[in-house]
Parts: sequence; structure tokens; C-alpha cells
Amino acid sequence: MSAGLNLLLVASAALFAVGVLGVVTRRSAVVMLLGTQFMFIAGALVFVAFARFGLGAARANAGATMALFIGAVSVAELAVGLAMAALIYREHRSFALDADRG
Amino acid sequence: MTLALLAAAPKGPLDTWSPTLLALFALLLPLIALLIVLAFTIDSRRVSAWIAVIFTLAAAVCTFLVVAIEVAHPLHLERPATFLQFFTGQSGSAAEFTLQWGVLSDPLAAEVSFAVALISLLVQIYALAFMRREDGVVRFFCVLLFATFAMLGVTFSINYFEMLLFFGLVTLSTYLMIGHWWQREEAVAAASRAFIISALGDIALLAAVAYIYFRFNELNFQALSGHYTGGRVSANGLFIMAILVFIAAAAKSAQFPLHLWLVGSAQAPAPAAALIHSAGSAVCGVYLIARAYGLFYASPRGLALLAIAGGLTAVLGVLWALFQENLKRAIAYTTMSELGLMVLALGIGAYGAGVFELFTHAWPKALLFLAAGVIIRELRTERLAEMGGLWQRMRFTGVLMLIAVAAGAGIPPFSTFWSKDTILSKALELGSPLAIAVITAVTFLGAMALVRIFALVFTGETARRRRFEPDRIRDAGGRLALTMAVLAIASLVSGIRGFRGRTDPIAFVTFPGVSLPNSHFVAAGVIAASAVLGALVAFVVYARRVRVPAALQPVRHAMGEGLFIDRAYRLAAVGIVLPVSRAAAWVETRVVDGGLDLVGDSFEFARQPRRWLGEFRIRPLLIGLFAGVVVLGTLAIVLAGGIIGRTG
Amino acid sequence: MTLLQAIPTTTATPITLPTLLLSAMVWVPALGAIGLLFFPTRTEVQRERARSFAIGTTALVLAFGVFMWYGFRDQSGTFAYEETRSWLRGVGSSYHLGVDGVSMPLLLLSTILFVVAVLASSRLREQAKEYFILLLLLETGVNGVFASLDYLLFFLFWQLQAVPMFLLIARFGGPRRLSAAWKFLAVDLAASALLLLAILILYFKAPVRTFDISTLHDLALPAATATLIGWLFFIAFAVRLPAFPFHTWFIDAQAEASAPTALILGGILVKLGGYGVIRVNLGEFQDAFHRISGAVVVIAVVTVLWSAIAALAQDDLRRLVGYVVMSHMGLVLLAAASAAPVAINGAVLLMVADGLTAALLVLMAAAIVERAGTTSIRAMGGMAANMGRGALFWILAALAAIGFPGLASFIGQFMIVVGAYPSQRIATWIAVLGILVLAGAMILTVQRIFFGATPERLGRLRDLGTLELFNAAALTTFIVLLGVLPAILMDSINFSVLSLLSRGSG
Repeated sequence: MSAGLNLLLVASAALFAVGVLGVVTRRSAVVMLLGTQFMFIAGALVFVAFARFGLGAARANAGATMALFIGAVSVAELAVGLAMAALIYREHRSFALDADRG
Repeated sequence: MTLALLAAAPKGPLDTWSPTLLALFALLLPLIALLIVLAFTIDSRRVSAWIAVIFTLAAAVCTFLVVAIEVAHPLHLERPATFLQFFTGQSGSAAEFTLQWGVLSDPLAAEVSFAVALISLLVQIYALAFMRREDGVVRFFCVLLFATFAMLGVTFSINYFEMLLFFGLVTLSTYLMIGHWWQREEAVAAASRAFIISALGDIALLAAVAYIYFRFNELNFQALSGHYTGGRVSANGLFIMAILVFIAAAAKSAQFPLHLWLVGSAQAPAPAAALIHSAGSAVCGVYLIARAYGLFYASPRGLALLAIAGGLTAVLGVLWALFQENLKRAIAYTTMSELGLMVLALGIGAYGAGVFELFTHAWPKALLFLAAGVIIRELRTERLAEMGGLWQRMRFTGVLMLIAVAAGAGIPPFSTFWSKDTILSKALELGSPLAIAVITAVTFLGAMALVRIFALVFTGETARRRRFEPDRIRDAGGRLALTMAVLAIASLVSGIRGFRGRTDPIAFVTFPGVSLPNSHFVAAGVIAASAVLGALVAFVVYARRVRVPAALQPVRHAMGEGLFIDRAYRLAAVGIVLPVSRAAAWVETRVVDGGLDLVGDSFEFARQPRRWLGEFRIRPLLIGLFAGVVVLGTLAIVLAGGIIGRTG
Repeated sequence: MTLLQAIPTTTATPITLPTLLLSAMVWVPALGAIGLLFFPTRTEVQRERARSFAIGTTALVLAFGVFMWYGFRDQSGTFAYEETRSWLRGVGSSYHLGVDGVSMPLLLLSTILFVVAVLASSRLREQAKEYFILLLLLETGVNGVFASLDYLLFFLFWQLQAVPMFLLIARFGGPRRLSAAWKFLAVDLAASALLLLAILILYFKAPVRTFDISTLHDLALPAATATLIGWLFFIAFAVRLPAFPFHTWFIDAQAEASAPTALILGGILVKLGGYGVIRVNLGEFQDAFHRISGAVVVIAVVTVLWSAIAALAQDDLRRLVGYVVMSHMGLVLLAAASAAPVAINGAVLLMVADGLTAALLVLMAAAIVERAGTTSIRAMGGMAANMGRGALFWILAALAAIGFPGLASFIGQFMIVVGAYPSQRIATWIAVLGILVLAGAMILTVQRIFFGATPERLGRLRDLGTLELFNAAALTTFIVLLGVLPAILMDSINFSVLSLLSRGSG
């Protein structure tokens, strides 16, 4: 395992942690969606890292393809999420998602 | 005399009249009756009751035939059926795990099962009249049938597993019988207490089974009887087995210190109480000891345990009986004393005599309870202080009760005299002064206690009470009288021993290696004397209602309450178990859950110091958990990586 | 010795039995869930139709289950109804399903309990559709875990249960449902993380890059690695079991979930923990499990005793039911730790028995709580005056929970005690003490709830309705049947247990 790979993995973990903290800590729906995007990015970064450093030439394409796939999924999720956020805003006049409101 | 009659009756050859087949019928008939009643006639009181009686009659006939056959050809036969069987993958004899159930027929089983079936029949006929106007009559008969099935199962058990199974059924039947009038708080509490103590016995038996199976790889009584002395298990091991089996027996037979439930059984309706005390749970324990006698016989300390516990129970029971204010409780304590005497007999080696005591004691005890039922119903009180002067008004019941009291006391020639005198003979043979003293004292005091009951109920003047007209008391009639009369006859004759070997009931049930005691005339004389003396003393004291001096009142109260042992138990339970339980709950909410919350709270505190003092926070919990998972995961990965890296 | 040689190990060739049966049992509920999406539920009639559809789906799966049991017979310890389809060949994971004598009874239990749960869900309003969809998805997850013979598939089906269960508790539960739901989700996900970790370590350390359970069973892993994997698997399953000290999520969930959800949770979901320990820890990593068995025994005994004592002073009826289930699962864990064939046979039987008993207890508790208007036992009393049938079934359930002879748990508990005793003497006796304490607790509930004087406000109650009676009677029939004739399952279980124990060393 090379130093570059380790660095990228650590960076990806940090990004993932930021994403989780964003989802769990914040109340606003939009910010939560941003957090999920961070998590997706982190996953994609891991795949790219392994494509670049880890698995050898045969698998390089697989890693990059996976990152593209993740991008598509994350955009789809974002679209649905923003639509729901819009509905919530229409009803409550704010993006806040509180646990007590069920 | 009775058994001499049986030997003369013609019976077919052993092959066609197989006793195990008859035993199987006797066992299954009550169960079939129960199922029929539950399925088809649960709405009709009369039909259900008569179905119960008819099937029990058939079962009683079967057991009678079994006794007849066993008298003619005493044999040990088994009819096993496999309940469960599978391989264990081990080697040798341990390769298979087999659980069997079945019926066995030998003199011991025959004798006790006959008593059970017949008493159950008489109790049911009595209940036909006694419980006629109550709600829940059908339920009562179902419970009686269930109890009969359970008890017969115990007597016909071929191995420890089956014994355990039927012990559990007896526990439930006792619970249902005592708690029959479930609207009464005292009855329900008594029933729960009986259940718990009985369940304790069952658990002890489970432990015994586990240990015995582990050591001997065998659970069958007949097969094990040769193994106990083989030296495969050390003396300590045998003693542990004996202790466990004894605990199981003690719980069922109300030996000290597991005797508390017996008094509570007075809450049961009179017919049910009669069954429990004479042919029910009380008998189960003694029967278990008799069945597993090989184990005790191989462990001298086990025998000593039996003797000590039995003696203690006998003495305490009879002492407490003398101070009871309640009619049924007084009778219950005398049962406790008798059961102690049986266990004592088995402990000192009077095997046949102890078992015979079981048989002879059943009839007068059942009669006592049935008579008590009639008396309590007519007088509408259970307190001895409010009774008296019934001799003029209920002459028939009085005569029967007199017979029962005499038979229970051991006055010759009534039933228990014959068994008690043999027990004392054995004690004389052993030359143990303690045993002799205990047996004599118990006979004396037992006679006193029983005659006290009789005197307080029948002699003297009726205590005056509001709204009670003694002239409206009617004597027992019809079916009640019939059943009690049958029991009285049994109490009269069931003890008498022919003096030829074959029909000697003591010699009927034997255990290899235990010598038959010769009936000393000394022993007979001593028993007769102490019984008659006790009766006379009691009659003089209690017929004249001699007042207890005031100084002894606290003693009287303490004795009446069973020396407050019951309260001690309850305090211990409440004082120990409940705080432990609450401590457990505290640990859960504070420590375990608190751990979870703490992780979450710590982050909430870091974020918003003011708000963390609020209630349970969901998001901080998630943060905390996530952090925890990350930390743990990292640690695990690093460790795993380290381990895996090292080992490649 | 000779007997062991006579037991064949897993064969590669599947037996000639219908090879779609397991897939059907796993996926038909999911298909039913999808089908339910198309049902409108605005009116009462439409909701009834949706409910009937759900009943039909679960009944169909039950029919499959019965067919599976009937055709199972004694497969001599091999896997039956095996299906292997290539799925993720690059990764080494295949769609490999199969049942043996350990998973077949549990799978059958699952199908039975889900039918009962759906039947018991009668009073729902607007959210009926979501409710049944969640329940059916849950069934897919549960059945999938029992049927899968591929670690990745195992994990995926395990994860599938988390969200539906969370939503079921969070949306259809009692007053403190959110707290209970989140606690469940958090703890379950954490345990699943450990599960995934264990699987991945196994995957990367195995000589062959595969997730297949049967292929991976004869591994020669270095001792430290195997122990690590064993620990991770064990903790993941112990949390689900639920073993002390990971049990608080279960008690809270039992208290707050609605009756059918609690029925599934206590009846089948926790059995997955026991199944996991037996299948994976015992079947695959026996030496490693043997090394940690000391700790496992301690945890098991503490679980049994702790839950029994907690049940004794428990005032909330539903929490008490939770503790009863926990106590039985502690016995299962003790049996697994002893690794004795008799005990493990008993453990599987006890799991099936306990599933039925827990279901009956939950249903009766819900009926009692609904009529009494409170969950506090102290506030009840004398309810047998009006609820004669309810009293009867509660007493039967209590006796079944205690292990009363003639009812299902007796033989299971008996075999566990007799089987575990030779190797774990002190632990077995302490566990037996726990059974006694539990017996005391249950009989006291009977006394406090049903007997004694009837307070004024409980004077007018209605007895069990037709549906409640049907459910209770059906469960009781199974409990009695299993108690009187344990052989109907025993023959199937035994050879698989022996095969599992003999194969597992590695």
C-alpha cells in the first residue's frame, strides 16, 4: 500500500465524516442533502484512489466507471431530495426537520 | 384381610391380563375423560360430572385388578414407549439420546395407584353433591381429572424423565385445585405459593436428572437400581443426587423447610383438599423417595437426611397442629406430621412400613377433609372456636369422624396402627433412641391433635353466633354420606395384616436388601398405648375447653402461625429479591442505557452546553454512536491489520 | 466414531427437489409489497382489500413453508432445496440459497408468525398500506437470512430488516416509540457494521476469494484471525440475541411497538441472533468459538439470570414479555457455548418453541393492556371475571414460557440443561435457577392480573374476540403439538446439528 493511496483513503474518510456530521447535526433539509453529497463524493474518491493506485491496470477502468455511476446516483438522489425539501418548505415555511415533529 | 380376599379371586394367566396394559388404561382413562369433557360437554354440568365419575370408576377398577395381579404374582413389568430419540454423535452407549415414557407395574405402583384412583373416585362422587350449586363445577371436575391423571402418571413412571414430566403436571393440578375459588385473595396467594414451592421441587428434579444422566447415562429406575452401588459415582456424588431428589420430594410432600404450601392448601374446596392431602401432591414426594430408594440406600448420608428431615417435619407438624384455630388448617398440619413420619420411616430403613403408612394414612385423611367439608358448610364457619356440640345434631358424621380420628391416631385396630407399629419395630431394631422417641412422641401428640379436633367440633356446647340457628344443621346424607362411609370402612380394614407372608401388606412392597422388620409386640404395645393415652389426654383437656394460661398466649400464637416461618420467607423474598430486581433495573437505566446516552450527550454538551441537560437526544446519540463506530472500527481495523499482517 | 463417519458432509449436488421453493419463500413477500403499492387505501373497504392481499401473500408463503417442511425429511445433514445462481462473479458472491435442519424449522416458524402478525393487524387507518408493505419487506429480509448460504447475501438480507423495523416501531408504536425506534436502529446498525467487518476480514483472509458459506467452511485460518472473526460475529449476533448487556434496545422496542410488530420482533427477529451463533460461530468457527466459550457462558448465564430477576419486579406487562424472551435466548446461548449435540438440538427446538410462545404472550399482553387501559400490572386484578378465555390463554402462555411439561419449551429446556451440564456444570445450575425465578415471575403475573378481587373499573370487559381467539388458538395448537410430539421436528434437526458440529472445526 503506497503512501498516496493511504492519503487518499484518509481524505475520503474525512470527507465522509464531514458528510455524516452534516446530516446528523444540522436541522435544515438542504444542508442534510449537502451532507449526503459529501458522503457520495467520499465513496467515489475511494474508488478512484484504488483505480489509480491499488488494483493494477486491469481494474483502473472499473474504478473510474464506478465513480461515474456514483455521480449519477447522487444526482438522482439530490433531485428527489430537493423536491421533498420544496414540499416541506411549502407546508412549514422552513426547511427545518425536527425529530419532535415526527 | 382385604388382601386375603383379593388373592382368592380368580384371575387369568399373566399373559392375557397383563398388568401393564391395565395400568396404561388406568393412566389414560382420566385423560380421555378430560378431553371428552373439554371438547364436548363443557356446557353441561351433570353430563361432565358423570363422565368424570364413570371414567374414574373404570380407572379404579383397572388399578384394583393390577393390585390383584400383583398380589398373586409380584413382578416388575414395564411397558415403555419412546418419546424422543436421536443420535448424539458420541461413542458407545452415549451415542443415542433416548427419552422414554411408559407404565410400569410392580407392587409399589399397584398399591399407591389403587389408593389414588379409589380416593379420586370417592372425592368426585362427593363433589357431585358438594359442589352442585357452584359456578365452575365443570372446571372443578376437569381439574380433578387432570390431577388424577397426573398422580397416576407419577405412580406409573418408569424413569426420572417421566417422573419429572408428571411432577410438573402435579404442580399445575395442585395450583388449579387450591386456586379454584380464584376470587378470594387468600386462595390465590396460597395457590401461587404452592406453585412456586412445587416448581422449586421440579427444578431440583431437573437438576437431579441432569446430574444422574451425566453420571450414569441412564434414567430408568429399574436399570439404575443396580448402578448406584457399582462404585461409578463417589459417595459425595451420590449424596448430591440424593439431596436434589430429596428437595424435589420435600417440595411435593411438604417437608420442612418447604412445608409452607400445605397449610395454604386448606383454601381449596374440601374435596380437592382431601385429594391433595391423601392421594395428591403430598403423596408424590414420598413416592419419589420410595421409587428412587436405591439411590438413598446407597448413600448413608442420604438416608440420614431423610430421617432427620422427616423427624423434624413430623414433630413440627404435630406441634403446630395443636395450636390451630382453623379446622382445615389443623387437619393440614396433621398431614404434614404424617408425611414427616413416612419420610422418617424410609430414612431409617422401614421401607415396606413407610409405603404402607402412605396407603393406610390416605383413607382417614381423606375422610377427615370430607367430613370437615360437610361440617364447615353446615356451620358456616371454619373456626374451631365457633364450633362444638355437633354430636347431638350430626351423629352420623360424628361417628365417621371418630373412626377417621382413631384411624389417623394409630389406635388399634384401625389402619395406621399397623403401619406405625412396624415403623417403631424397625426403630427398635436399629436401637436408635432418638428415632424411638420421635416416633412415640409423634404418635402421642398426633393422637392428641386429632382428638382435639374431634372434641372441639363435636363435644361441648355450640358457641353462640349472630344469625346462626343451630337447629337448622342437617347431617350429611346421600352421596356425601356414602363416600364418607366407604372411606370409613377403608380406614377400618385397610391396615389389618394377615399373618401369612403372601398377604402381608408390609411384605408386599419390598426393597432388595432392606430386611423386613418383625413386628415386636413391644412396638405394638407402645404405639397403642401412646395413641390411646394421647387421645384420652386430648379428650379430657379439650372436651372441657380447658383454657390456656395467659402467660402461654404468645407461645400459642407463635405456634399457630407456624413459628412465623412463612413470614420469614416472605420477608426474605421481599427483602432480597425485590431490591435485587430494582437494582437490576437501576443498572439498566443508568449504567447500560446511560452509557449509550453518555456518548451522545458528550457531543451534545460540546455543542450546546445549555441544552444538553434536556431529555433524550436522538441526534447526539447518532453522533456518538457514529463516532464510537468509527473509533472502534479504526481500532479493529488497525488491530486486525496488525494481527493479519503479522500472520500473513 | 463410526457414527461420525456415517454422517455425510455437504454434497455438491443438490437433491432433486423443487429448486425455486426457497426463492419463492424469500421473494414472494417482496413481490407482495410491490403489489400493495398499487392498492388504493382511501376507504375502509379498500383497506380491507389491501389487508386481505397481505394475508394472502403471507398465507402463500406459509403454504410454501409447509411444503418445504413436508418434503424435507431427513436430508442427512446436507442442505436441501439448494439454489445456486451466479450473481457477482467478479467478487465471488453467488446467489446461493439452501436450508438444513437448523434453518428449516426457523424458516417455517417465520412463515407462521408473519401470518399471525398480519392477521392480528386489524385496526389500522390511513397507513395500512405502508404498514403491510413494511411487514412484507421485513419477511423478505428474515426469510432471506435463514435461507442464504452466501455471506454477502446473508448480510444484505440482515440489513434489509433494519429500516422496515425502524419505521414500524417509529410510526405505529406507543407513546415513546421514537426513542425506542432510534435506539433500535442505532444499535442494529452498529452490530451490522461489526458483522460486515467480520465478513470482509474473512473474505480477504480466505485462500479463495468467495463469500460462499459452504466453500469457506473448511478453512485453515491462523488462530488469532479466526478468534478475531469469531468475536466479531459473536458480538454482532449477541446484540441481536439479545444478550446482556446489549439488550436494552429490545426491551424498549417490545414496550413501544404495536402488538404485531412486537410479535415479529420477539418471535423471529431475535431468533436470527441465535441462528447466527449456531450457523456461523458453531458451524464455521468452532475452534475459535471454543476458545471464547468461557466469556460466552458468562454472558449467557448473566442473560438468563438478569432477565429473570428483572422480570420479577417488572410492572410493565410488555417489558416483562421482553424479559421472558431474553431469558430463553440466554439459554440458547448457553447451549451453543456448550457445543453439545443434545443441547444444540434443544436450542433449536427451544427457539421454535419460544417464537410461538413469545407470539402468544405478546398477543395476550396486548389484549390485556387494551382492556385494562394500562400496562401496569399492579393496576390490574381479577380480570378473569370477564375474560375467562383470555385468562386461559395467558395461563397457557405463561406455562409455555416456564417450560411446563406437555408444552413446547419443556423438551427444549430439558435437553439444554441435560446436554450442557457435562461441560458447563455451574453455569447450568445457575441457569436452572433462572428458570425457577422466571417461573415465579410468570405465576405472579397470573395471580396479579387475573385472579383475586375485581376492582370496580375492570368490572365490565369483553372477552377475546373471534380474531384474537383464532390467533391464540392456532398458536396454542402448535405449542401443544410441539410439546407432545417434538419428534416432528426433531428428526430433521438432529442430523443437521451433528453435521454442523462435525464440520465446523476449522
